[in-house]
Amino acid sequence: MKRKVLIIDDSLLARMAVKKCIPDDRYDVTEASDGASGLIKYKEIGPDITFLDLTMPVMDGFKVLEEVRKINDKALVIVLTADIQTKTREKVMALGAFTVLKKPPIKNEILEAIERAEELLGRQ
Amino acid sequence: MKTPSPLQELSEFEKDALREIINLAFGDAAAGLAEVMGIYVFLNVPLIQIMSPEDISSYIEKELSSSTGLNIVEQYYIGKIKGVAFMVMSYENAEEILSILGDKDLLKLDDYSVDMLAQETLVEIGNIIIGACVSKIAEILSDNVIYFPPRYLRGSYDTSNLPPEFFRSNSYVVMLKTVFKFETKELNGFLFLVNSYDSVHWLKDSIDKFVSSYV
Repeated sequence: MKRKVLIIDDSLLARMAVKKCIPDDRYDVTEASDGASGLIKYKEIGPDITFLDLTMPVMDGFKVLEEVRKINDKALVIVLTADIQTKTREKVMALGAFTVLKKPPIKNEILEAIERAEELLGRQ
Repeated sequence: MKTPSPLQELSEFEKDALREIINLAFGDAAAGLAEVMGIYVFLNVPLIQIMSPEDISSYIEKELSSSTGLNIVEQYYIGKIKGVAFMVMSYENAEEILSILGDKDLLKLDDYSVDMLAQETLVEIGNIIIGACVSKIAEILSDNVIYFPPRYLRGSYDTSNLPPEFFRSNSYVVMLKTVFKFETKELNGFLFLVNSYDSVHWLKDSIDKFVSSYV
């Protein structure tokens, strides 16, 4: 059975780029173009792994992360952001992000993050 | 044959890519500011608007009008992209700006010194943000730009000072705007860049190359 991945990012380009990195024989990918609809999708599909942007309209990524972790305290959320301030990284890790990757996405980093997430999923 | 409107020249996907470019650029700028000045910046979703050169003056006037008075750092740059960047902050008094730096001793200076220090702080912040942002955009679009010295202005902006050679009638203008907020105080500002391109084809090609290299 395929794992479920949710990509929440207001940039179509960013969503396409991340999706391109994810092997489609192992993962079903769903997308959302803003934080609020992303949260709705999260509740609907209960993804195994979520890729999350921070700077988004309607609801920003910090809020989405907070709400996702309330729904599922074991949620694996990979934050993918152009905001590379140290304090931003500290904030999202404190909110329970699995890891933080810098935009533009690098395929190897995305695959490595997925593999690390898989190790945890295997243990759950 | 009627020339297509600039609004029709960039596709929605190309505008999305430009938005992502400024997202990257502003991410770098905020990180630069955090490193140099120890200031944390909240970022908002960037806005993009395509406009005709004839509309620039009225747009800038609308953005830079405020009953409480604005503090503006203006900086021109030139490369294949030519343009002007405005970092704008509205505050009631100079102490609010100096509070960003978190050094209470600064507020013990006389009023004139506090005011001058606030201006210098703003110019420095503007220089960092504008420089990082424009440089990143230029880098992504494979361009090199040179900068003119930043200028501090207070109160209002006279658009008749916009140099005509920057925004010629046959050029193509993209306005990029980002609102930001400093964590230390409830101080908001925004940055907008008014870029002129002589060739929309060069811009489209550069965006296409960026899209191809994005992952």
